[in-house]
Amino acid sequence: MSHHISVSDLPPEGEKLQLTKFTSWRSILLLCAIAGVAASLLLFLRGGEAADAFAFSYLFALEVFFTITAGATFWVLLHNASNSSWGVAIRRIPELMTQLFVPLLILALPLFMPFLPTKPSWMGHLWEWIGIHAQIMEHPPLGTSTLKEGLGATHDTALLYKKFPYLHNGIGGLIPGMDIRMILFFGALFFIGSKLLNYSLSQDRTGDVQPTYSARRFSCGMLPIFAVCSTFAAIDWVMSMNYLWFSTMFGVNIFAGSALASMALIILIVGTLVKTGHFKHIVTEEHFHLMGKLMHAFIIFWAYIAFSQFFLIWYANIPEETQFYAIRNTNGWWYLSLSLVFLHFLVPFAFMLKRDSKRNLNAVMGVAAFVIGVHILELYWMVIPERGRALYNYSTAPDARFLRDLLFDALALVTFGSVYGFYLLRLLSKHSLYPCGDPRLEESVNVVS
Amino acid sequence: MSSPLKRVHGYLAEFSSTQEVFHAAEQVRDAGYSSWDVHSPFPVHGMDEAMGMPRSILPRFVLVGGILGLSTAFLLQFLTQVVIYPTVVQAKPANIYTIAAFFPVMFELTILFSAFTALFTCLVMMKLPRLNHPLFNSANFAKFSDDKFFICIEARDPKFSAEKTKSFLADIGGSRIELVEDEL
Repeated sequence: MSHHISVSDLPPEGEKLQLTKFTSWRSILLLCAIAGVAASLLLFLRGGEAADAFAFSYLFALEVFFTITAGATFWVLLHNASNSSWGVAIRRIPELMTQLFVPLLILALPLFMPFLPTKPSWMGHLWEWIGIHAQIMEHPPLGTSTLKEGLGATHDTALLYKKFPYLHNGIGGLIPGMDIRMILFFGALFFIGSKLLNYSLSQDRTGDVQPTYSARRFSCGMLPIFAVCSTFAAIDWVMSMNYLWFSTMFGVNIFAGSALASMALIILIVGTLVKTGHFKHIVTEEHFHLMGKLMHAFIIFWAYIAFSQFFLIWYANIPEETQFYAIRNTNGWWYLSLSLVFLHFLVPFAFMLKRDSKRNLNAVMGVAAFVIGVHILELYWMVIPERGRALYNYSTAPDARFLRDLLFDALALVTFGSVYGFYLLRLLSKHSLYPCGDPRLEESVNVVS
Repeated sequence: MSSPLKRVHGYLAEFSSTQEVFHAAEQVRDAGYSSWDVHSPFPVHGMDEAMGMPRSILPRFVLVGGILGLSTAFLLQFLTQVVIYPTVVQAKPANIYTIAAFFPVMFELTILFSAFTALFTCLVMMKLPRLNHPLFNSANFAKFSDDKFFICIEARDPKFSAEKTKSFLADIGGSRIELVEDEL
């Protein structure tokens, strides 16, 4: 049994990130971020076919990092709402991650162009319905004066007429449009994260108990808000790429991957910090065991949700539902679909069964990195097949554009990743790495899994 | 009819708090006893380590049970639905790609077999069910399900000694130490 650590053994003002150990990381990330953002902006400003193709890469990268950040919000909410004490020592990491909604919102602007009455062409390709809306607005059918009437005038767009109360842009209607909703989702999630971070930071200074109660009450109230935001963000950005398709499971599907990848990133960050000499006496292998268990649970949860969605659609065999899988289970995409079963579920599931692979720092960090990799793969599998449907003819074999699009995907991922990493490093160096004023810190550092 | 013959089961010592029994257990562990046990009204966190117990081998049996359940379910469905009598439902293929339809049953049987293996292996490892236990001969022992904690060092332990074990239990804070005898 390890020695009991009491709060008086710990530095009262917490622990700061030793930024000198990460200076090379910081400069590399900054360089990549500047180059990536410049290249992305240039591509969007030039417009044309390349911008249309790049928009898909951009949405894919946005979705990867948005889900990870939303997952961090979920873990903080859950930790507070369930009145847990085990994770107090590592809670500051997800708390800080929620602040990353700000750079993500700024990066997401070219994709959504809120408050712009006519949307750029890449939005019309990315979300097919926006393209159809633009056509109707440009050439309204005879005898119609509004967009909604125009959609209702022909048989081809009858479905978009029915879905108009939800699928539209701008402020009109009972529900705000998709571009406004995007700001609302980001705003609500950022508000939740900031409020919880502020409760925790005020405790750092005072050591007061009250913020713990406030955060608990606040979290219980905000969990439904989080669920709504995370679900409808998935519906708006990914599911509505093909407006004919629908799946009631989709929001949960995205959420399962989101919480999983987020826990993996938390493990990676905490593990890296431990390896660079931080968190002494604070984080033990017990914490990695507990986080590993949660990661293992969410690997299973993801498989359960992803399979349920596939299974029901496959069994019912209704054309408008099957089209999502019809694209992804044919041609080259089939191999990616099949590999997800093994990479996203079977391999990490079997490996994590063993107790040692949750307690050994190298093993659990390896799985965490692997999980983030397959999370990227999963979102690639969700977003990118739509590019072929929207821009290219199905029947054509891969050509030069294939390689270019792969480069675009990598560029978008590196852009978002480096901005994300740079901003995260800055946040980590600002505050104490653990909530040093939390009354349950002592309980947490001595936790036994 | 009880026989007049009796066999010594071991020494039973009573403790009145979790802390006491926890630290006493650590001392019994460090003294090198192997056949002994702690009895408590509720699970005590960390007692496994305090008693120096090795990791249970139960998970290995459960793994085997789970794999057995998975393969049973797969073979049961694949052989009947694909090999022996190909069943075409809604124009779905009757080959290995039908496997998606088998998953729910494969999942269920994996759980069922693992759970059964866990339960029954656990019972076997604990030598349950049994009709009686020598410790029930001690009238004092009934409090193990109320508010007292007990440590029993059994006579079959190679380090057991009629005198030393008794004084050892007294040293580590045990009270009402009694010699428990098994009626033959």
